[in-house]
Amino acid sequence: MPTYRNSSDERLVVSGQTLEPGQTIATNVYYYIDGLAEISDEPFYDPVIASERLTITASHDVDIEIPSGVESFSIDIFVKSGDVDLAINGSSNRLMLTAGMRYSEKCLSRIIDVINVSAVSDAEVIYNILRI
Amino acid sequence: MKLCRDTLRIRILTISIVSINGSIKIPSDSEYETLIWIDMPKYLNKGKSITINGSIKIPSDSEYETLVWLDEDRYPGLRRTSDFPCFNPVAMSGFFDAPKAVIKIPKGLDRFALHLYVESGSPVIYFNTVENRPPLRLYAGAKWNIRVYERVIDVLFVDFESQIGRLWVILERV
Repeated sequence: MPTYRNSSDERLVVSGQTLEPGQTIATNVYYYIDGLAEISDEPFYDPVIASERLTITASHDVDIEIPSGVESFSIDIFVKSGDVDLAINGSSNRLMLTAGMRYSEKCLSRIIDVINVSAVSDAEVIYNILRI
Repeated sequence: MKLCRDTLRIRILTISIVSINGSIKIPSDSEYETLIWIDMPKYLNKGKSITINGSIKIPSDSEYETLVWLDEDRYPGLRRTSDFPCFNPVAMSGFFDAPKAVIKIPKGLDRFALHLYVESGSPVIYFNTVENRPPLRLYAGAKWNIRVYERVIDVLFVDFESQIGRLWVILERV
């Protein structure tokens, strides 16, 4: 979300909004418009809500919690090595994944709140949670 | 396949029936001919003023650029003067090797799909700046698509977790 200033002497229209000379606008979008000067890069747009590489020793577990306030998202869990099982929202029906397998889900509403990852053997797990 | 053909022959290699425009069904492993080809040739109207698709008027002696391949037999007087610039869905494609890469989204490309495929290694991808956390953490064999309808992504910084790795990137216009 860079911030821009109208450094020209004329009125500009940026993202449907009229910008008087000297006026600033903070937007998600990167613009390349004559007379529009970028004055700040921050805050930055990031499609990733959370990501982590987990190393879990056998018989231990980690909770992947969907951050609060996130309603629609996609989640991807990849087991790089070892064996794990997943419990979605505390369910006793666990999903078993071995090295090279992945679990992914697109959630248009918050149907997943937490995923428990339990290592059957020493495991390395990568997960990403993205905005959709 | 030549670009400047009056008809386009495509071979469908799907394992199931494909539907085009919601109505034309193409069985798997069969050929389909169509007059429509999504490039952007230029036409010159040497005849009388004509109307295309019921709404677009092309006056006599004027040039017209379109995404649609027009049938010159259907529009007397219309002559194709150039096959280019052609429509190309690919804005950029290529691979980037470990340990680091910076991928700048070309200027003017505001709507795009970012297709990522990790051939090897574990790339960590930062959006717009390396300070932007969390990054996207990918793994060998990962295929990833991110669709952007406004230019909210300007540059990608790729940082492989080891000295070996290859990331394929396709930027597609959408």
